[in-house]
Amino acid sequence: MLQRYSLERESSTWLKDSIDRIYIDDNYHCCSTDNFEIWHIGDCCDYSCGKTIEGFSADLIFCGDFWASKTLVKHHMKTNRFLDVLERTGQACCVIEMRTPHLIWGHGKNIYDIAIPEHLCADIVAGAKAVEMYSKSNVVGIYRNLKKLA
Amino acid sequence: MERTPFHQRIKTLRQARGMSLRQMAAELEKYGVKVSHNAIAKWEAEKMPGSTRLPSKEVISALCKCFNVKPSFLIEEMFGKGTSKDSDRLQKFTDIELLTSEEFDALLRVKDLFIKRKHIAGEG
Repeated sequence: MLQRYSLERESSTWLKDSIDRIYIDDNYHCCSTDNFEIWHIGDCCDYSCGKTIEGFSADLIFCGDFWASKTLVKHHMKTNRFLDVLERTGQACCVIEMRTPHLIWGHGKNIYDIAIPEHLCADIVAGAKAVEMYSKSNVVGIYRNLKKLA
Repeated sequence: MERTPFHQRIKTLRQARGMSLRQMAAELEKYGVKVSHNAIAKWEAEKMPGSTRLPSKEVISALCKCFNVKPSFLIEEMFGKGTSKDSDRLQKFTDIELLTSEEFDALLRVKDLFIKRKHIAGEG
């Protein structure tokens, strides 16, 4: 049975503001996969998919690579009901943690991604865990070489 | 606190503004979304809990402009039950968006009157 969890007011406000930004078009298209269109809210990431930046580790994958790989997504989402709910109802919200926790909002084929501010991470992650909408990679970061996931 | 389901919220907003289904369809068209009054009736139809399927992002945006509300207000049920530690009093004001500007101003005047009275009583 899913536990109830009450977010702190600041977390709740940030969550609502982030959702508002999605629907008032304060977001940018990142990339397309066979199943999804990936978007970021505001200036969520320091880099864009397909572009490497100085000092960026080549071992870490970009979000587009993640969402394009059914194997990776399935592996990562073992403890996260996000995809089930998205498929069943057409929209869903979860937290996924790779290097840092990100809020993921799904609406149909669109996946919106925004980094959670550091000072709100503990509260929002706890809330997501309580409703089984949280997943964290069991390796540090997610690597291009799928064998490293085993 | 239970969250207001999307279908109920849409219906309440429309009725609070005295719009018919056809008038609402015409209003939405002004914001670039063409939907029939039958489609709106379907959005408003009673749904099983947890079975809400939202209209497209474009429709959500148009609904927000049409009713002058925020998307997070319109789709608050998606956030789950009782996700905020706001006080009970504050939670009771979540429906304040349903009021017209005139009704909201009237409510503010009543609130200001109570606060003013409290200050006068405190000084006396």
